[in-house]
Amino acid sequence: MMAAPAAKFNQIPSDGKAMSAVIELDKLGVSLAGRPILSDLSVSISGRSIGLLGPNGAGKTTLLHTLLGFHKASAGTARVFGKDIGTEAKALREMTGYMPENESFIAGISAVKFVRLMAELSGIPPWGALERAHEALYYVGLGEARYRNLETYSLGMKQRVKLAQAIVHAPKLIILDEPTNGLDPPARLRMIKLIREIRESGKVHLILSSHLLRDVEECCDEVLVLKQGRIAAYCNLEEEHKSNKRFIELEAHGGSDKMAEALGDRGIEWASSGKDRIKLILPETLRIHDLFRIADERGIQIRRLDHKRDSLQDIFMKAMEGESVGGL
Amino acid sequence: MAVYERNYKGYQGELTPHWARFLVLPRTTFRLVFASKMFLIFFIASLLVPLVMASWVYLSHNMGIVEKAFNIQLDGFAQVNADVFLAFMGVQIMPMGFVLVLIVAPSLVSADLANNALPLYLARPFNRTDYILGKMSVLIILLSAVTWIPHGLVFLLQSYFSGWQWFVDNIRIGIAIFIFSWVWILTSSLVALALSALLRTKRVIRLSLFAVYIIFSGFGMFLYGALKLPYGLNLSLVITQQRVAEGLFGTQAEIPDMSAFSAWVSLIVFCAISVYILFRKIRAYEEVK
Repeated sequence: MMAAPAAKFNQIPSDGKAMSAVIELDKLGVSLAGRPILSDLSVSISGRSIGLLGPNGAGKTTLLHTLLGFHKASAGTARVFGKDIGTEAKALREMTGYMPENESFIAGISAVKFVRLMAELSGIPPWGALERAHEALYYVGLGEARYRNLETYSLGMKQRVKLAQAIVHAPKLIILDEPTNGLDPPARLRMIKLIREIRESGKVHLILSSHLLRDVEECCDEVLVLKQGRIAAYCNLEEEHKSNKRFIELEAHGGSDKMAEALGDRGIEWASSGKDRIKLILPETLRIHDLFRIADERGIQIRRLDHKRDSLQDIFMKAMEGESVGGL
Repeated sequence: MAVYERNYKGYQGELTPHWARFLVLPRTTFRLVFASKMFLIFFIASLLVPLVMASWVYLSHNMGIVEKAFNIQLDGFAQVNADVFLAFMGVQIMPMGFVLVLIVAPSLVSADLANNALPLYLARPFNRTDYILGKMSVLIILLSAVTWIPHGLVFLLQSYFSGWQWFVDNIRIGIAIFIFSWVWILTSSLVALALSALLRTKRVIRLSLFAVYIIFSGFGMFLYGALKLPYGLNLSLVITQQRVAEGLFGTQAEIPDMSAFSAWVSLIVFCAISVYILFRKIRAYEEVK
């Protein structure tokens, strides 16, 4: 379970400039128009794909904009690939691709000219930029529509052309802000598939901001949950899933109280999760067979038993219910 | 990688130098600008002025042809001096150059703001200064093509006909053509871009440009004429530009109450305000207060 212990993410390691860290925040604070939006963010993240979760107004987009150098830090520092966002912004943008949340395009030009322009602005020479623009548009599935003007594109196509311009210069880090915003289910699936393909290419790191838990769960290895401008939780989804292997939910018929009492007597952590339902963490010393034996001894029937993984939704809901952790 | 492979790949090729990347913007914009028939007509029309000037220079050195053709005497009629160059420059700038600015400038920044394109530019190794330089260079290149380049060539033509001594004696005209063109291009470009950043629709931007150039001038003349406020003239971009031109060409000032110095100060203030507006408005995202 994510648990979000302060020590786990509240401190940058003593070798804070470890090359493996993608993002390092050290007491980062950002104020816009005098209002604090982000406060005291400290974390070091090194995953290949990082999910940024939080309700609307939690500060996800502000954090992304700060990493891109759009907003100045009012306190603390932030580093991406070891480069300070304040002093090395240009070098940082050289290795970053950004897909903005809102509809963004250049009027009056075709997709291929648009993506070529973006590649050239990133420093690719004109001949290479044109070639890569074609490739990027084919890659996102817009090969047939690449000579059409951007104004004629549907929302789903505009999202994909935004992705194409974000990857055309082969950045080391791609920042995706709500990439599935406004997409219908098939378009969303296409976008998620693309993002997963990019992640699995192993050549790039991803930061995906979304308020859709499924998007993050499907695309990310690590998740940072923000709440009211502070870090509410941070977890490695793969480790969470591993640690939840012995997390069990059962439905006991004929006396769930007695079953719970018996579990408690054996030192098993449990919690009621509804009528006749009990969630428990099975200790290493016990097997599932032992649960049936305990129930049998009390004359209780176990009618359903699931290996319950702590879903991202659980993690997120717990983070939202709890106070910000560790004095963050 | 060929397109049929369709997978994500890195880039190991060479990169263009940072300083040259702003030039990507004019190249892209020119494709759009020259696609407009209205622009093309005015662009060609604005080249007629230096053509007429060149013809004037040619005829002034070949009066015999005209006298013979029309059987008339034209002694001293077509003299070429600073007044003539300034008069032709005046026509070239107002209305021809001004119309080109009216056609091209309004959508330069406003379209990007309306379509939320600035985050796309500024998320790259391309900052606000690069963006403004890129957009300005669209106007600088276009307006150079119809001001100092053709008029400079006419000056060289005149020097060719009149000889080296004339060139040495009148080098001030050549310098004035170059400096005044740049002063006009820079002030006009900055003011136009600032209005394009400040306002969103082309029509409103064109009206505002018209107001800054024409109505401000009228208001300035009113303050100067009716209320006897000499500094009223400094509100007029047209009059201040004219005064600067007169100073550079060394011709007689039409409005003696305005010094060339105060005209320069006014232009600098216009430019400073425009730069301030541009840097306020050209941001990836606007802070909502």
